[in-house]
Amino acid sequence: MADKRRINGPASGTAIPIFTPSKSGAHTLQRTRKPNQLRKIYLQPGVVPTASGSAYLELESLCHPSSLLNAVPSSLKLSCVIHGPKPLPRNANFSSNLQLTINVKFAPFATRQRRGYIRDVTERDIGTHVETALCGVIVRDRWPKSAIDIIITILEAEDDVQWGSGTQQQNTVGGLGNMNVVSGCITVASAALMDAKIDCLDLITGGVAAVVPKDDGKFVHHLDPSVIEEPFLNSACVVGYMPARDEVTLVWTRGNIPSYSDGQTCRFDSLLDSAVNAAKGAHVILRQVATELAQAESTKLIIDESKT
Amino acid sequence: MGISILPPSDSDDDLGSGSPGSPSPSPHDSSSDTSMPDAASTSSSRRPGAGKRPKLSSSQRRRNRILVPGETITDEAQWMRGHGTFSAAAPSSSHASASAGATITATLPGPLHTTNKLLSITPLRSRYHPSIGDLVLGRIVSVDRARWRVDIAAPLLAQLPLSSINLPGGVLRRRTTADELQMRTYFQEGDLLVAEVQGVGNSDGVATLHTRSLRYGKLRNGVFVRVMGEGRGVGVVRGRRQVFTVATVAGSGSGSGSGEVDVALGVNGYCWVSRHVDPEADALEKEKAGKAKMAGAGSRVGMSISNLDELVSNEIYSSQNDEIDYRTRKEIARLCTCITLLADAALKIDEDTVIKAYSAAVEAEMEMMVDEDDEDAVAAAAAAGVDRKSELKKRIVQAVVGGG
Repeated sequence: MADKRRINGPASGTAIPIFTPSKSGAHTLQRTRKPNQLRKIYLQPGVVPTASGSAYLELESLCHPSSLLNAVPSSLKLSCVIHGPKPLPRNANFSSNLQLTINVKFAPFATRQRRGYIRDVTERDIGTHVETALCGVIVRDRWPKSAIDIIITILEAEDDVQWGSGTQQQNTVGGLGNMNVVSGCITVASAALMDAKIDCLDLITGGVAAVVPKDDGKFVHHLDPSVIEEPFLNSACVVGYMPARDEVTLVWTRGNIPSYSDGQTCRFDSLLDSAVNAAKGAHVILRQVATELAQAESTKLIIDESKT
Repeated sequence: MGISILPPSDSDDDLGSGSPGSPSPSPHDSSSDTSMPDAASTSSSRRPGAGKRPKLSSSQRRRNRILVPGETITDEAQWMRGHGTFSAAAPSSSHASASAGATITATLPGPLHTTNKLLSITPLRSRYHPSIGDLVLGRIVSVDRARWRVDIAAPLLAQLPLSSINLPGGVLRRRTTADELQMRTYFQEGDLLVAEVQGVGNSDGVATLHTRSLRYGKLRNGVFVRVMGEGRGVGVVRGRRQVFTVATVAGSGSGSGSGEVDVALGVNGYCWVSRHVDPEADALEKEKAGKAKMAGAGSRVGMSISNLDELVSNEIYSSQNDEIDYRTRKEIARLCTCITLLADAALKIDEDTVIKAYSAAVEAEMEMMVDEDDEDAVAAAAAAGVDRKSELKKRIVQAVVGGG
C-alpha cells in the first residue's frame, strides 16, 4: 500500500468526530425491498469514445435518512473499458485463442478505506474471478493471435464491513462488498464486450444472493444484498450466469449454510438458484440495453447495400 | 402422423413484386434468391421452385429483426452459420444429435443478414481500425519531436514521422535538425492531409503514416466531409478507387475552368472534395512562372526530370487556397451533400455511388428549375420546402440503389 512515489492521502477517511449516544444496531438501514427485489440498475454502453468498447454501471444508492455517522451511501459505480482485439506482440508465443487481460482497480476514493494506486491482493483476486466468468462466454477461438484488455475501474463501492459497527457483527460473512463488485464487474464487462462487438455466446450477468436469518429463527434468501442493509448473514454467493444457455461460469460462495431443526431445507443449490435469479434480473436490463444499442445503430439503415 | 399438405400462404411472398405498401424487399434479406415461405410448406409440401429456396420459419423472421448475443436464430438444420453466429455443433462434435447441433445462436448484437442459406450478423458500427496500405485522410493534432500526431478516426492517434514525408529539394535529402525546427512550415496543427498507412504498431496498434508520393500530402482548395467509416459494408469501401475526378456540370456551360472536382474518400470515413488540379497543366504553369523568374536571373532552365520535383514540391506545403469560381464551389457543395446523404442512407460510398448520386441530384435540380417558371408551383414548393428536401433525398437514394 505504501507508494512512496506519490503523496498519499491518509489511510482512512478523516471524519469529523461526532459523539452520539451509542445505539448498537441503530445505524443499520432496514431493507425495504422485497427479498427477491434487486436494486435499480443504470447501464450505459459506449461511454468512452476512443475505446473499442466501454460501459458504465451504477446501482441505486441506498442512503441513511437520518444518521450522519453513517452518511456514506451504499452504491456501486463501475466503468469498464475494452481495448482491442489487437495483435499479440511479435515475440509472444502463438495462441489460437483470444488472450484476455483483466485489470480491476479501485479508485483511491472508491471506498471509505482509501485504496492505494498500485493494485493490491483484493483487486487481483476480483480480477481473477471476473476473468473466470468472462473466459466462458467469449468465443475465444474467433480471434487467434489477438488480445484484448479489459480495464474495470471501481469508482464507488461498499466497504466489506459496515463503518462504525465495530466488532458487533459476529455473524457477518466478510466479502459481501467484494461479491457485489464482482457481480457488477461481470455485468458491466458483458455490456462493454457487446459494445466492442466481440463474439460472445450469451449476455452474461452477475448475481448475488445471501442467506439471512430472520427473527423467528428461519432463514430467507435475499437477492442483491447490500452491506449496509444486511448486518447479519450466514452465507453469500455470487454467480456469473448465461441465461440463454443456462450455464454458470463462476461460483463464489462464502460463509456456511445454516442447519435447521424445524425441517426447513436450506441447501447450497437453493442459494445458488437465488443468485442465478438475481443474475436473471440483471439480464433483463442488459438485454434491453443490447437491443437499444443495436436499434440505435440500425435506425439509419433504410436500404440495404446494393448487390455487388 | 400423417402428412398434411398446407396451402401456400400469401403473406410470406414479399419478394420482388411484393405488396404496394413495401416497394423494396426487407433490408436485411439482401439476396433476391431468398424468399420466405413458411416452415410448414418446406417440411411437408413440395412446391416446385419455391420449395427449394431456404427460408426461416415465420416466427423467426421478423422484419428488421435485432438480435442480441445468446438469442437463438434458428434451429433448422438447413442453415449455415456465418459471421456473428455460433453453432453448438462444433466441428469436433459433428456427430452430436441433430436437433441440438442445428441450433444457431447470435454472438453479436445487430440485425440478421441472410445471404442464400448463410445467416450472419454484422454489427453496424465499428470503429476504424487501421491496416497497412489504407488510404486515409487525417488532421494534424500536434507537432512532436521529429513527428506529427494525426487524427485518423482510429482508437489512437496516428503518427507521421518527419522522415516519411516528401521534403522540398529531392527525395534523397537527409533530414537534419534544421528540418525538425521548421516542421511547422510543412504541417501545422489543424492541417488536413491524405496519407497511406505504412505500418501498424504491434503492441498498441498505433498507425504510422507516410506521404511519400505525389498523390499524398497536404489538402487545400476543398471541403472536408466526415462520414461513417468501414463497417458492415456501408460507408467508404476498401479496395476501390478512392481518389477520383468527377466531371461536373460547372464546366459544361462556360468555357472557363474545367469544372472538374476531385473527390478523395478515406477508408477511415474522412473525405475531401476539392477543385480539380491537373498535375500536367499545373506543372506547365509552374514552368512558365519558373521561366519568368529564371529569365530575370539571366539563365534559362526548362522543366526536366531533375527539377520537376523541386518545382512541384515547393507548392506541396502551401496552405493558400486558389481562386475557385462560384459554379465549381456549388458543385463541390453538392458532392459533399451527396456523400453525406449516402452515409445517412447507410449505402456504400465509392466512385460508382458518388457519381450516381451526383447525377441524380443534378437531374432533380433541373426539374425544379422547370418548376420555377410557374409561379404557383414555386409558391407551393416554398410551402413544402421540407417535403421537397426529403423528396430529393429519396430520389437520390433510389437512383443509387436502383442502378446497383
